[in-house]
Amino acid sequence: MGACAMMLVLTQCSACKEPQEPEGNTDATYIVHWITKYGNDDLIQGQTYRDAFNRRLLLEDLRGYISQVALIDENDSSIVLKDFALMNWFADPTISTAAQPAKIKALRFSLGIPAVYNTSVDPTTYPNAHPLSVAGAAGMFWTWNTGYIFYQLNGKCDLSGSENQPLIDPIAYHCGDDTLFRTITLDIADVTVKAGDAYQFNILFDAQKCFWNDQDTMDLDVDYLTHTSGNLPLALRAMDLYQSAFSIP
Amino acid sequence: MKLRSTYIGLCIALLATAVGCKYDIMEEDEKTVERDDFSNTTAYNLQIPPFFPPMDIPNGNPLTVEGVTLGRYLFWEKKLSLDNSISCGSCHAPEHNFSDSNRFSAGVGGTLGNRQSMPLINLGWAKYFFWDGRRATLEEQILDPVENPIEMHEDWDNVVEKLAQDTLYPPLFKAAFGSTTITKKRAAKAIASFIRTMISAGSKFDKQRIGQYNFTDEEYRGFVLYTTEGGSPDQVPGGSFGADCFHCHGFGDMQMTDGLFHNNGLDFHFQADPGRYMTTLNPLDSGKFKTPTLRNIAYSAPYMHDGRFTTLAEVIEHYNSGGHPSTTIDSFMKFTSGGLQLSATAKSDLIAFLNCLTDTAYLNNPAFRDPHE
Repeated sequence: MGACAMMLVLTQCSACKEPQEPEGNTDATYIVHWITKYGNDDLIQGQTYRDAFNRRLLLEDLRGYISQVALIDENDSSIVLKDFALMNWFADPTISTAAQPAKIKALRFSLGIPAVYNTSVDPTTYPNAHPLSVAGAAGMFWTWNTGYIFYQLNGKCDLSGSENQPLIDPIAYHCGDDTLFRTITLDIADVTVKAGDAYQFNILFDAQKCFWNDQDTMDLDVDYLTHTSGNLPLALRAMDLYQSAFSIP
Repeated sequence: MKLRSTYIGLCIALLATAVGCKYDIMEEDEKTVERDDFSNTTAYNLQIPPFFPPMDIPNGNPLTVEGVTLGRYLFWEKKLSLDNSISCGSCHAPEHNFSDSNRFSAGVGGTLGNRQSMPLINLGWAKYFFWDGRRATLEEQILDPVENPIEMHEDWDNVVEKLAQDTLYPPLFKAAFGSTTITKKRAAKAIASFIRTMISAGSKFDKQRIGQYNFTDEEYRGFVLYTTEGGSPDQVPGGSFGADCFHCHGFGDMQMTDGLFHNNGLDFHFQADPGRYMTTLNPLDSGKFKTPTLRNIAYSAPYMHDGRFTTLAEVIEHYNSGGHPSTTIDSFMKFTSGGLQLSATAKSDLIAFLNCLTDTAYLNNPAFRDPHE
């Protein structure tokens, strides 16, 4: 009888405790961290930066969905770290997971939501904490027919050329359409991650490239507003630039 | 003997552990630390309407018939105010979408605030409370008005005392929480439970969504305007002469609000009321206020956080003008490009659609009315 009671108590206690790490951990911990910059400066919400024409601009909101975040091993197999995540690029974004040890040769993730989830699934069917629920989307879901905003940049700039006037001219790139879904693969020198090890992979996100790179330049006098529908050409350009902002540092 | 005492001790430990899973322990700052006992309550059968998301109910406040009943009595209880003159329902009247038809509600002694009373509707899905979002849960939000000097201006200790002396309440608290002990947190939990049951899903818009109503031509044109980008295409990239409502008043979860904070261009400066900034102290939040739901908007006048507009036509005219520029104005406002430029017919169509968000069954639901009458 006493032994029974002891077992019951032990059962109750274990239910209240955090799961214990098994001895001799056979998994490795993979961490992907995005280093966020604006050119050479740290990326900070509300900070004033310069566009390609040396005009002042301020970033208020810079978020995006990433999906199918995975490490690619030497056998071209994927170790999936995250199916979906809504990234606030101002908020020291990091993703981690435990998985089997492997030799990693590339990082892969997509910008946006795959078509099969974008407009075909009612977002109210997700739990509210899920990034694809309406609550979890935090303004990044449009409507049933148009799906999710894959990438959103809101800010202000000064088109007057003044150095001391308040920034009031709007910038809004709201990009989300199946045609804007992009996948990025970043090759890295092979990294062998052993059981019990924690290894951090860094990805550079340079927000300056959301405004210009070697191929394209946003002129905020005219290229300041797209909600995708009605201005798909600018949304495509904004998405191309956004995609180019990710690299291995 | 030693084995026997060990056994008894273990049984006590087991019971304590089990109790910990069944009861909610009250906060330490309560005068009486006592566990809520929900074991004799009846689960409230909350019906989630079609296309609504699940409602998250806090672990420490399960939705029960007894809790909702108590919450309803407390919602309409004037003893919550200093001079026993005002209840929650005084400023959240059913006929005005559980809001106030006055621009600013009169608190105890006629004191006026500086913000419009927010409508209470489908708040079980809300993430932030008050116009500036300074409270994160219904349970937290409910504590504030009682002690706010421009509202009920009472002390919770006094409220607890008054409720304890009223023969109505101790049995209601016992039914809801397992004991006659009255605390402010139990009161807040009960009122929160009641508010979670205040669900509106009977508008024409809801019925259209489930195939039980067809929009008239005018209403449909209004819906298209609601979901179309605003501005002239000559002046706004992608502008399609729409009303641009859906960005902030989205309906992906049928709530007609994104639940977030925006500066919709009401003012050039915000010294009078900095809005969300008062909570976050982030200058980027100056002049931003929570997007209210448009459900039952026809019954919610006056409009905006300060009730400056008395009609929907005035509201639409504000957006039509593009609003006043400022450093935090929302990019959706067309202040640099001449506003929405809606025609008179378009404005009329838009109002026709907004009227489709009316749910009079919600306003007249006897389950939400004053049980003291």
